[in-house]
Amino acid sequence: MAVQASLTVAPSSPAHGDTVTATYSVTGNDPIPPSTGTVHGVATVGGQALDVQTTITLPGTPAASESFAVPTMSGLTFVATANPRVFTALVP
Amino acid sequence: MPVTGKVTVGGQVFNLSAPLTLPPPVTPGFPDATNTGVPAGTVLRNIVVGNSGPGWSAETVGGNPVFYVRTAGTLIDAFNIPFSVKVMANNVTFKRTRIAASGYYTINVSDPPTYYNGLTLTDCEIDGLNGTGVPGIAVMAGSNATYTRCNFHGFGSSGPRMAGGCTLQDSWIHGFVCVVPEHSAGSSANGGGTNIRWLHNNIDMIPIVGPNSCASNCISIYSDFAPASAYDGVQMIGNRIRGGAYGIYTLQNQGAKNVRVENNVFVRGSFAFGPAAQVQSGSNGNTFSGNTYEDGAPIN
Repeated sequence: MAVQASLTVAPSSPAHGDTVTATYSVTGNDPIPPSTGTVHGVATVGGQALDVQTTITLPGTPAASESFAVPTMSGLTFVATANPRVFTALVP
Repeated sequence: MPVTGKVTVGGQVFNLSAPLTLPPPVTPGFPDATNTGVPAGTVLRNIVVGNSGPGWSAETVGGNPVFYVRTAGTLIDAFNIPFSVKVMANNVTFKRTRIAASGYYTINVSDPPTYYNGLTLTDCEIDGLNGTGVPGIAVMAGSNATYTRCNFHGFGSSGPRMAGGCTLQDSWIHGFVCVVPEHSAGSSANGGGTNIRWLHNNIDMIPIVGPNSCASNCISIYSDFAPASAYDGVQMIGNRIRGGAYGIYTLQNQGAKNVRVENNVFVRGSFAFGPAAQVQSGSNGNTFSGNTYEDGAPIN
């Protein structure tokens, strides 16, 4: 699945003194769990072809690391919150 | 202008933006006669008893003229209403309108036991006519009211009363009357609430009629009808404060939460006791910062 990211800000038309919240969202950055598969082969013994196989477990892939920059807009100063995807700013 | 941001996922960079519309910048300086009330040049319709229109009517009740609004969402624009107003519907708006009446409430938003919410006053003048018969209040408290660029004057008790969700901004409250032993407040909340905001107002409680002994404060939250802890999220930001026993009552040391008192300008020597009372910055999310006298001297 393709990785996608978005940024939303609420409220979209704040008043003086309001706190606006900017929130990042990332989709598709999901870990891939380990998977099992079968390896097929042929061994020939004295002219006799023998089908052979074994199972194998492929390693999973963790989600990629994510980092979120502090949003910017002229006239606003965003600050981090406990949630690394969320930033807030006070409308002066 | 959008908010811009950047996310990095693995080695992949996403440059992002989101729309955001900021409010117009506040008026430089503080509100006064030049930027509050009915804008100059506005032609007002003079209302008399018997007039009516969509959602409103001017009637005589008990021998007194009253301007009634009974339909939710009614817009009143450019009226001159020389008597009291009774709003009996939600989300009523008055724009560019002058209302002049003495009495307990110049604008009443109740039909007991029902109280109505969402009143909006924009570019209005609310005149208490310097009434000394009863301590007048400009506007009864109703939730989610918004008062912007309004001129409130001539009252003996209070400018607009505030409740949860109310905002008073860019407005001028001044020209009070003092009838001893009444007590007055520029604008107050009395029953708790969240998201109550006083933003960039000019509040002057030095009276123009009577002695300078009535004003308790310019801005206050009181625990008259609810405990102090019922206040959570109050902003007193960027106001000019002149007069009162104290300029601001904050209830911060009484259990109120998230009361932000920031960047206000106090007029030195105008208070009987001091610029602010009940301050306890740092507790319960409360703040008291950036406040100064007019000469820039900080108030801590």
